[in-house]
Amino acid sequence: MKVYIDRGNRNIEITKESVQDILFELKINPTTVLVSVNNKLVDINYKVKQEDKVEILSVISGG
Amino acid sequence: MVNCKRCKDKPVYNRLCKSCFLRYFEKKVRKTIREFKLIEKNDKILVACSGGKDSTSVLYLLKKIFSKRKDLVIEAIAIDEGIKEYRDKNLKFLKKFCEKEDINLYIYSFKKEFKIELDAIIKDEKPCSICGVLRRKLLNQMAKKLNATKLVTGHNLDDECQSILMNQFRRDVKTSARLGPKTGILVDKGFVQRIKPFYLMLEKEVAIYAFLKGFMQQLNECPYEKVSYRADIRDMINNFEQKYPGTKNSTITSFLEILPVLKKEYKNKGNLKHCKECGEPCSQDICQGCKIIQKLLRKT
Repeated sequence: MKVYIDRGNRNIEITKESVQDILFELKINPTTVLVSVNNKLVDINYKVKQEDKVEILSVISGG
Repeated sequence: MVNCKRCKDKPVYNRLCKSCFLRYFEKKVRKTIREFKLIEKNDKILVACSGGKDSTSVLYLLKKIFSKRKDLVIEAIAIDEGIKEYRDKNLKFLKKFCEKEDINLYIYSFKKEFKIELDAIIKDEKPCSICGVLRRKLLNQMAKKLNATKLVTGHNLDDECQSILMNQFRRDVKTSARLGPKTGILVDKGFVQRIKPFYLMLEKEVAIYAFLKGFMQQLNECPYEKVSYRADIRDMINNFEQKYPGTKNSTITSFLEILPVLKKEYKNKGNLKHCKECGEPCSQDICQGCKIIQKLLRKT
């Protein structure tokens, strides 16, 4: 499946199933990101399918 | 898959579905406002907006919560520091948002008010401390000019945790005494009271709220954020929170217990003066903002 990080700045192929596994694989701290699957927000236990579009968005923004 | 703990729908965060999360979030913000008495009768509320997720969400939510209160005025204020790509984009979004929500928006710039732009002067300086001092100065000046009684910021629980630890590491307890959901130690007509309705909300929760409400499109990080001391503290706290969940909440809860003592302790220490250049309240003859401006203007 394709995983987009921060609005497509990085676009990588990955084979993990749950959102939690994907973040672990990418060494991303779950407290710092939101994950959307096919443009819908999901929590970390969500199981992702191969054809899904997964997006990881940083929650950090300077004021 | 584990369902929402309240209604069994698909969860979006912490076992809450979209509608249960929105209800939880809004209820907790209302409670924060009530518990800390952040908003009073006849307040003229000015929301300091950057166009980012936190301030846009707080502006939206205050409008929603107080839509029936005829005694309150809610308006928005933004500062353009002159950070190309970042502030330009966010202000464009903010203008559109305020137009749609029928909210008055006042925009002031460093260029017009101080004759400087952040991008042009930043090379050898610490950008975040310069920007922070000047932004606070301009916000306070303009809030007074606009007769505001409250200045709202979008600061969340993560921001506050970072500030507490930064002050602790720098042995600057006095600055911590100024923190809290209602900032400041001294009451002076030169200060407009700052309030933080998102004081008890995690940054991630605010981001989820913003995402669900459609305020996240323009999300981008300030280009100078990466080089700040705050960014290092933030990463450290986030790593700790992942390893020991609840760290952030505990930091704030324990800080709130000692905050009244800190405010009392520092209330009578140091004289409050007014800057000889601009009249803003400060602790020395010339305020920090004027000192920075003079220094930067000498360089250009």
